[in-house]
Amino acid sequence: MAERGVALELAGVSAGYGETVVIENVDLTLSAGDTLSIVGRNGVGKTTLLATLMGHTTLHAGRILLDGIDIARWSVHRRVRHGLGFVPQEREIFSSLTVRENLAVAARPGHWTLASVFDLFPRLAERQAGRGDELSGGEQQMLAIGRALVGNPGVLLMDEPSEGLAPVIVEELVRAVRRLAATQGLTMILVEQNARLALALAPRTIVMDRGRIVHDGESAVLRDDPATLERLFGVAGR
Amino acid sequence: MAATDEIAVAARARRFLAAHARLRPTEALPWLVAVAAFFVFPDRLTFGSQVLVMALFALSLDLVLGYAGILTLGHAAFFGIGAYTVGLLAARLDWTEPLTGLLAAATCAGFAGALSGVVLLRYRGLTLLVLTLSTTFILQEFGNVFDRVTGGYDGLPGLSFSPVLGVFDYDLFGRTAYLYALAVLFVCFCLARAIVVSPFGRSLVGIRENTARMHSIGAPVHGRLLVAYTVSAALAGVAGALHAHTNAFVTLSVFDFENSAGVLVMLILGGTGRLYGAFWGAVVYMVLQDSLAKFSPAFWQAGVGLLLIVTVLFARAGILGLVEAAGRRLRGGGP
Repeated sequence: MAERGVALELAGVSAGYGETVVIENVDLTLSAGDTLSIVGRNGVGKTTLLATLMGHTTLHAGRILLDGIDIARWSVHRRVRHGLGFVPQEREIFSSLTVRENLAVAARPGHWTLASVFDLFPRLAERQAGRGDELSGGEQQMLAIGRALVGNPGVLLMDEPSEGLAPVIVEELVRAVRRLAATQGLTMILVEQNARLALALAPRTIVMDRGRIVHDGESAVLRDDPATLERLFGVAGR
Repeated sequence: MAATDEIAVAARARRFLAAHARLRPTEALPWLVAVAAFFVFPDRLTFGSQVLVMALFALSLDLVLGYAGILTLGHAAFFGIGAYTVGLLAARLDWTEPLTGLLAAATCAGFAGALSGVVLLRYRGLTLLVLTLSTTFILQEFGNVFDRVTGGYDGLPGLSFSPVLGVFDYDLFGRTAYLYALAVLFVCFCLARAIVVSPFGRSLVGIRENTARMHSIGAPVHGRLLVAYTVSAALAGVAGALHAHTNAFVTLSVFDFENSAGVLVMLILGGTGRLYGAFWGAVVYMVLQDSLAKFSPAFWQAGVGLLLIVTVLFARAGILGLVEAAGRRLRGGGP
């Protein structure tokens, strides 16, 4: 079996906002094609970790290697052009652009095209001429994921993709995320408040607390160990 | 291989956006009105050519303000550079051919836009407003200090230009000036329209709505704003050159704050980010200004001010916004 290369590596990363340090001494390695969930209580640094990968925070220490290249001092758009994709918690759809235009402004060469995004989310295909501000929350989330995908990232970061969505929409998203996970070479990091969903979506889960990684292991093991989950996360499989 | 892919994706994106940016029948209306005005108001064509010049100026502002969200109070700088380019070429170098004059004006104003944009576009909001305004004041004072070249506050009167295309000489009734201004406006509108419906133009809208998000989808935001600012400056330069061609004089008043503010008011009246808002805004503003000035030469600005207040209170999307809302109501799409 061919060994997969390292897609993303964080070494001793400390970062925050201005002088304030939010995440501290984070080490993390993901191989190409890995899917990882990050869970933890509110305010422990999950979103800040994604923001640090994207270059939205102040890096105080450490290295961030994407495909072996240190991107820690790169601008946001250069990181994205090198292979990072980001689905923000707030979705941030361009409200006056249509669904198609939202995708077209982000499109770059690669496996993911507008057609393949519409294949992944048929609901978007139906609404492709609709403006961003006419979409429901679920459709906006699908569009936010689609917009990140058409940039053809090697590493896709998703911040709370299920937040505020109806259960039926969450099911549709779960199906889409599973399809993405099966996409050869796509590495994914999901930050998720819903621990049950997070453990179900990724084979590997890390738990964060007060800016540090306090657990890194197989999701299945954690899922079958409510006591550990309770200790680390505060709720038993919420 | 990667370069080939880039070209293929760009071509696909352009094809898609072109298909979704087909001409609507209503887009013919302003041009039909402009052509009809030529026949209906034959004794008002000089005024009409000034309206068309200001429509082009407002269009140039719409590219940066309406689409890219760049707040500026200094667009008169580029208008003035364009006007002085053709004025100085004609007065000092006897270069009076109008079309090459337009190209020279676009080049000089575009260069000034690129040069100033590298610095100015790093700022936003109030800082940018003050910086753009200051740049215009500096240019105006620069023109005053070098009065031997620019003519100072007396400007460059009595300019003479060659016939358009070597055939159509300027006449006393302003027929040539009107049709010349209309043709240039039409070409510039086509260019601006092609820009705003392109993926580049759509990305400007994205930058206006959410700059941070555009960074996060890999767009080089500063570079795109700089390109938009440069193109807009070049178009403003063309408007300034047309102003000089159709008036046959240039003074430093082209750099006045009133010029920058006036074009902003026109755009707000017509509706920003709509292209044709520039056209209708210029028409309404200029006709109102002309009518009110006849009625009360001292207080015409009060009438324009009142209309502006009404617009920002009750029709924030301008005249075209009102028309669009009415159209949605008629189609049963709600308010």
